Amino acid sequence: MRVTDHPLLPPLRRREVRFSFEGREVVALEGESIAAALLASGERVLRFHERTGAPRGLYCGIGHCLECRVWVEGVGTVRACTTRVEDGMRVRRAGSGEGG
Amino acid sequence: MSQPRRLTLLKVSPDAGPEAARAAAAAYQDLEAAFGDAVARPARGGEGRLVVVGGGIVGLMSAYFASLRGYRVALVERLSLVGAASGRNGGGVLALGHTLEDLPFNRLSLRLWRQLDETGVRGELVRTGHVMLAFSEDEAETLRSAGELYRAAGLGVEWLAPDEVRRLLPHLAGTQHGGLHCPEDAQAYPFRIAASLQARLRDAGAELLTHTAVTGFRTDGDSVTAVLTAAGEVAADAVLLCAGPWTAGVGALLGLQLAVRPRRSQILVTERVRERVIDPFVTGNAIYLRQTHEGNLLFGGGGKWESYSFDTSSTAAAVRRIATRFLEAFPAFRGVQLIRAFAGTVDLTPDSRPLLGRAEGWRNVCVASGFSGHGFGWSAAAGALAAACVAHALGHDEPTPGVARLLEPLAPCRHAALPAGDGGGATA
Amino acid sequence: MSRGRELVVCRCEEVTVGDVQDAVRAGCRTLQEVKMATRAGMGPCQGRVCRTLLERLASLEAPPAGAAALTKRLPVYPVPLGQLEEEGQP
Repeated sequence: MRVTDHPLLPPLRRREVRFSFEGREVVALEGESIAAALLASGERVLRFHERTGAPRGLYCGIGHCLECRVWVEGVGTVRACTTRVEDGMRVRRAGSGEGG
Repeated sequence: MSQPRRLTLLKVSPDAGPEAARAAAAAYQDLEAAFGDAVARPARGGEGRLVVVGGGIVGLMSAYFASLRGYRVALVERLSLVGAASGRNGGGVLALGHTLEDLPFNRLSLRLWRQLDETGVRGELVRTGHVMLAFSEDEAETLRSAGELYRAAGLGVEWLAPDEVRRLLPHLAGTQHGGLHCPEDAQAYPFRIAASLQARLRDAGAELLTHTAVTGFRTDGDSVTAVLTAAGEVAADAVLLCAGPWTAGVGALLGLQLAVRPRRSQILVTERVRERVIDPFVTGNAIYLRQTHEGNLLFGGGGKWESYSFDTSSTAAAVRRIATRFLEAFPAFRGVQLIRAFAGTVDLTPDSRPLLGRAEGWRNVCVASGFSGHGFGWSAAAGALAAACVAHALGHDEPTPGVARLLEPLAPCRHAALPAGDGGGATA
Repeated sequence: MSRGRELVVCRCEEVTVGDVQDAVRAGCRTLQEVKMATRAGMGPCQGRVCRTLLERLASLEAPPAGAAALTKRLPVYPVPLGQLEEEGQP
């Protein structure tokens, strides 16, 4: 997750990266995971359950549970917690097929 | 032509003529007259307890139809109900694709599946229709000819040109050359129908003995009087052997040579796709495929290259081949994720027709096996017919001449080199 | 403990403690049977998260005949179909 005030480490000084989530622009820091960037921007709902529609977000945070899966245009389904943000990335909530 | 044929699920012979088609239409009339209302208005059975050996979909359906006839039923399953092929198949309940000989039975099965659904024995049955796709002009020609035969045999099918197929399957590749469409065909979910049948059977007082292997039979002359299991004896007035590819082994305990052998068939399943992107059941390009009621895409295909054994491991080669066949038909789904590869074991017979009827040499032993990769769709008709065969064997009912004629080629012991001796089976 | 029954055990398929208890009561004797009855373990994680929870839960309820393990199949992790395509397709 994004840590801005660390007791030992110096403050973050990283290049900004801009991507979009569900059509709205999100500003992230280079090297962050999609999940960290979204959480820092206040976005906790990454997916709606395919049958019940219940809102879902991060769970294990270590790439194991697949709860955080999102759709990256041109790539497909990825785990938000282990995928780094890139400039111009277009991310949407997962759950459907070829169109994301 | 340059492209090898991939219409692997089109079994109708190109040499079949209008005579055979007419015979198939007439055969369905006979089956419908005898069994068309087997759920709503079951025929008579009698006193007695049927022991069903094998807890797959055929065992459960047979047990259910036998209970409808009034028999007490006990079912013995070595492991889990619908744990083998019955839980590892494509889920198709299809008439299109069968030989003209099998067609009448599968039309009956569709009818009985619907009746079960209407009487509350639910299985997520949906009449989505079925499209068998052509990927070359050669295949299109073959399917058009087959369509004429099927229509003459009484099955409602229509040829669809490529743009018409596209309306049913918007994500289909541009390489398709049209397809044969059967609006009546359906798909279902094995675990839901199994749960429904189990519930009905329990309500009817049937005993379902799982994790119970059959070790032998107690006999008296040409009759079986009990099924022997590791958990004790199960008294029987009649026995039905429907253990899929394991039926040969069980039959051997009675000295029967039942010609079913196992062959693996592999399946892939993807994550759920939220929208309904593939509605009908689809066959063609050497695979079958559907989108389940939960949204997963499920597709697979077996054949002569497969392992003739009980091995159910997935192979990298088959996974790649099946995935490739699927993407050739639906390239749009390259980004959809495979979550599981699995396999089932089909029960093949030398002529690919089932073993259905009384076992030769035994008064009260019947067999329902050898559905050669089509057991799930066949199962409702198999169940009704197996229950009827039990009733015939016990003298509680008689087949009509038409039904007797149709069952004759399905005699369980027809492949044996020597007929089983009179009462000469193994005893405990 | 009504909230206990509502607890989600399998997140992928939203299978609750109650669903598992009902399956065992209806006759399921192994984990694989619980899976067939409830869909627990059929989601994208294929039981990687819920397997231990199911083993614990089923053993609390099941008769001594016990709970066989869930079968493990390839792929070990979800793979986009495109990555499985054979090379050099026409």
